[in-house]
Amino acid sequence: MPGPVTIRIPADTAHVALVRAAATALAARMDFTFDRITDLHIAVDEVCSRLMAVSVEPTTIEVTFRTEGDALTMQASIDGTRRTDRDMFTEWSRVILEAIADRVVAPGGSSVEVALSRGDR
Amino acid sequence: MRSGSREIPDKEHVKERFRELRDTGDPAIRQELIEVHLGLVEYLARRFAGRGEPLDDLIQVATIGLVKAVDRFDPAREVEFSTYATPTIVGELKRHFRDKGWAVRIPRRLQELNLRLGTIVAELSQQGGRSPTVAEIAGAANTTEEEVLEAMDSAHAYNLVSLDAAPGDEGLSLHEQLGEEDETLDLLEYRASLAPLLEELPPRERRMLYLRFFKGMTQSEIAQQLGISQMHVSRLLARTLATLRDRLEG
Repeated sequence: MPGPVTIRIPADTAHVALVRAAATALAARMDFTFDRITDLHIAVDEVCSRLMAVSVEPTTIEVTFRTEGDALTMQASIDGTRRTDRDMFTEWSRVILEAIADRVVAPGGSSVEVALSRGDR
Repeated sequence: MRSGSREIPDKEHVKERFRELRDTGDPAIRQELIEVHLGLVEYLARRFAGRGEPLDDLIQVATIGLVKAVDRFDPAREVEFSTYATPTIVGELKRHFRDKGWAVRIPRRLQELNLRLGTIVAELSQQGGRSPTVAEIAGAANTTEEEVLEAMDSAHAYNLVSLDAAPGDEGLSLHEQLGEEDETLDLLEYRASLAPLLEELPPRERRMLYLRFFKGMTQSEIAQQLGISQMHVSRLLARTLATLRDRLEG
């Protein structure tokens, strides 16, 4: 992947499949293993659903994919007003993402960055 | 969970009651005839379990088939009610799966590829000692990477655990399913928000979550340990996580 790839979707569950599809296609090009592609699906679902959970009246989710050596990084953010009563990650979503991703960062505001390596091969 | 040890209804009695129902149209008799055949409903529904639809839903669908059969059955015929009802109930269950969109909305070639993928992924994993890449899968399936990706997507979208599904959880004790790692699951106890939700999950799903997220096993390794395909693990995981997500956010 020469440069970053950005996909912007309406902030609803139905459109998350588009992010998943983009992630899958990119990962396949990077020779991700099947295991890691399915992990990537989980990460996309988790990240997008958390973003939607912490934002009030969001309209758009933007996800940018980049390569980082053998890893695919995914930087995702959402518009709308940040809910102050919810953390970016629930205890459970942190468990999930930390098990799957090589790096999970919530730099503050309404964005998340995760990096997934392509898997042993 | 309802028990499977229902009494088999007495055939002569059933026939007699059907005659009375036809004569009187008494809704209480209709209700009784439905109830005495719920065992049959459950038995047939179980045969369709493990394909991605909750058993309770299947029992409901099968019950609709039973009601239709009760309303249509002619006791003057030389056939027993259970014999008459079975195809009606099975038909209802099959229609339920068909209506889920799989058969009508996914092109046949992708359905077929999807069904083959499970086997191919398992074989390649075994040969290579690791999870295969999409390119490798496409090579083995004699198709393009695009097609493989599409087939993977269709599996995701329709969530049909389908033909490579493992036998249902029935028959295995909780302990047998959980194995020795059961004890370590106790560690989850301190995660207060999570423990009650995990408790509600079927044992196999719970174990899957545990092995993937707490023990760091790959989906292929989990598949091997549970004796099901990696595709199946992946679909069950995705579905279980979605369920948990809904419940956690309340």
